Amino acid sequence: MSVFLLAAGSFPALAQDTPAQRKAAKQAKKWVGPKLTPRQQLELLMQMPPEEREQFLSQLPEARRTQLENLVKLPAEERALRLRRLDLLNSLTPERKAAVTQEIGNIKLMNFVRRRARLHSKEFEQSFTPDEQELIRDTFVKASQ
Amino acid sequence: MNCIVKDKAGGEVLMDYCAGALDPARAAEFEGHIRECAECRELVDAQRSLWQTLGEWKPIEVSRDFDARLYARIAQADAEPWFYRMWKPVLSIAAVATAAAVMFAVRPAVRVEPPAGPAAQVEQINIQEVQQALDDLDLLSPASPNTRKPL
Repeated sequence: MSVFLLAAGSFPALAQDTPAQRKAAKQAKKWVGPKLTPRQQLELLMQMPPEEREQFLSQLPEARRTQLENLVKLPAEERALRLRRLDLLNSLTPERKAAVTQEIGNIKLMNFVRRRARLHSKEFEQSFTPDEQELIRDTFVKASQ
Repeated sequence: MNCIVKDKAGGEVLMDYCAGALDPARAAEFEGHIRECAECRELVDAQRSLWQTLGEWKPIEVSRDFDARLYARIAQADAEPWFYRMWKPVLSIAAVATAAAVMFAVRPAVRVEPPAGPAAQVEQINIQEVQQALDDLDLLSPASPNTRKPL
């Protein structure tokens, strides 16, 4: 018996939790938070103190860090608008998101005249929902007018 | 006659009546009562049924030397050294404790997670999702006609 109890104490899985661990586990059980959306994750990163953010960003390539720093530097209103559009994009199903991003990518490769023609075409209207069209057109404001 | 349900001595009357131990005068009086009182009649029937069942029950036959063997075992236990007799309850307790320890050891592990708060939220940041979000933001940023490759 004593041997068994000693053995139980030797393995972490068998060891008894400390009161602090039990309390933490109890608190964690109570908290059932939803998964953070990409927008929330970015907002959280932007709210971090610079040194803490820098520590997190050290995991990212330089180009990504620049992208985030540029986002931080944007005027609050513009940043909010972009994040709202990011939310819209992420609210789409994976298939629709892929279709929208592909369309944006294709249109970006076009010149102004072709962009304008594409954004006002019947095919474009038939291929995308009004929300998706808005998302795409807002990326090409001048060509959409 | 008083109803046996309401009479404090009703239980005794019922038992005596069913056992045939009630004196004839009182038995006649009681029979007259149960003809009119359904509640007492049910009690009498139930009591008779119980006695009948007990009467049909046959005790398990024990071997002829059962008593002798039983007393021999008791004598043997009394003759055991005191430390052996003391160890018996200890062994029982140890067996129970072992079972409890085994149940404790195989219980689902409780995952200790940090409580909700900024620190917990930071842990929810997924580096890959952040990179994807930055890519998406880059894609959604307003395009300038001058920076695009003309087709």
